Amino acid sequence: MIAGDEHAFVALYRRRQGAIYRFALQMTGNPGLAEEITQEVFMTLIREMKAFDPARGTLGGFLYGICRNHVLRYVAEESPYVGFPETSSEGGNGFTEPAALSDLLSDLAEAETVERVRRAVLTLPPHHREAVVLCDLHEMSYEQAAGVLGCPVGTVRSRLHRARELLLAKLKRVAAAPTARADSAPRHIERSL
Amino acid sequence: MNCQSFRAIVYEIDQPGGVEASALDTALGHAQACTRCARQLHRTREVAAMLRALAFADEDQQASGRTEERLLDAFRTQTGRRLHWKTVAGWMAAAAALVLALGGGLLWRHASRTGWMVPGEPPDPAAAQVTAIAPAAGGSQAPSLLLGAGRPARPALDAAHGAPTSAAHRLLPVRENSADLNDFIPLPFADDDEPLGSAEVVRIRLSEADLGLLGLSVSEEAYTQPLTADVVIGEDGVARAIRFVQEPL
Repeated sequence: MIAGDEHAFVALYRRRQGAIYRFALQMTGNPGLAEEITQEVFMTLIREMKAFDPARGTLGGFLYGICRNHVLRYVAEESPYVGFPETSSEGGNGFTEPAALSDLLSDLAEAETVERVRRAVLTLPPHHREAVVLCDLHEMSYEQAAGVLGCPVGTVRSRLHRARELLLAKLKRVAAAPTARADSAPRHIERSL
Repeated sequence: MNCQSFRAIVYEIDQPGGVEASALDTALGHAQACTRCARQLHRTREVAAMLRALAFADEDQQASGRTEERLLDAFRTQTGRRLHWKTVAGWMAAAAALVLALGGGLLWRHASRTGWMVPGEPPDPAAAQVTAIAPAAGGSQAPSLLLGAGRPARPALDAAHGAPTSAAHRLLPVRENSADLNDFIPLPFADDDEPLGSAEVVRIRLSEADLGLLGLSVSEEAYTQPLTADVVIGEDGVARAIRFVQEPL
């Protein structure tokens, strides 16, 4: 590719673009922006092909790293509050009946439920969000995620633990929403829950 | 295991290699005994299932074909630009090589003409061999030196650089220091007023008998003794001065 082989570039792009696009989409929740970021990632690769050093990591990790930089730049500029519609206040004991979650699980095939999970992920703080996206959605190991995020494995583990706790709490609210009082107004949840 | 330590590892339980086998057994045993922790484990697994569902739903998501087209255009432009610069750099390198070759050639040609060598390099006695010394026609003329093959061993001496008092002194500013110059003996036949032009110093071997032909006095006891001498030869090929490298006995 460095020698200007167009076929090599196309092959590389087609093999890698899906993961990069999904990472950008799952981090930003914006398909147009994800497209733009994907383009920018590969533009960076075209411009700075020699910047990639195989001794320092995989090409996948290199591309994820570039993508992450673009995503975090966008995230830093976005509104500090993320909309989380169709939520209501929690029940008194902080736990939802298992039956409600089971119903939710049975609806997973429904696009609406998937979108709720997506929104819940998007409300996570950026550093926790990227841990969930890489480890849970992209099925990376802690070591691989640590390589992309440029932090120790222990940090990835603790961020992921916290992120799952937050996600659980958010999804509990989503699950409780249908049983909530009809007059409860939608509210915005601060991202740093 | 208590509830607190269970919650610390609950998200790792289903991770491959997340928890050691013994700790996993203990945790699952605790979950069976504790309803609250069992519910926690159940919810955790449900969230994991939801995330897998999201990952599955997004599996086919990818950038549009327009992005690929734009990137391909950018790639072509970039590689084209790179090739353009490579071509320009190649031409510039070729031009530089040509200039260097021309410069080197001119320098070599100049060096060939003037016999220029590195200052201080010792003369190569084999470079110039005098095969015979014969008196020139007419007694008052300096003898002609018949030189063998090879370049002069000493640098060319340009009369323009020297003070034109004598043949030997004209050498001073160019290559010889004053001590060396004092060693040169002007030959009796040499005409000091004759312009030296591009003079040369050659090292020769000659017999003492030949010194007589140069108009120098010769010791009769060692008449056949070979000598080594540096001779200044003017542009006209006439010897002007001599310096003995090895004094006659």
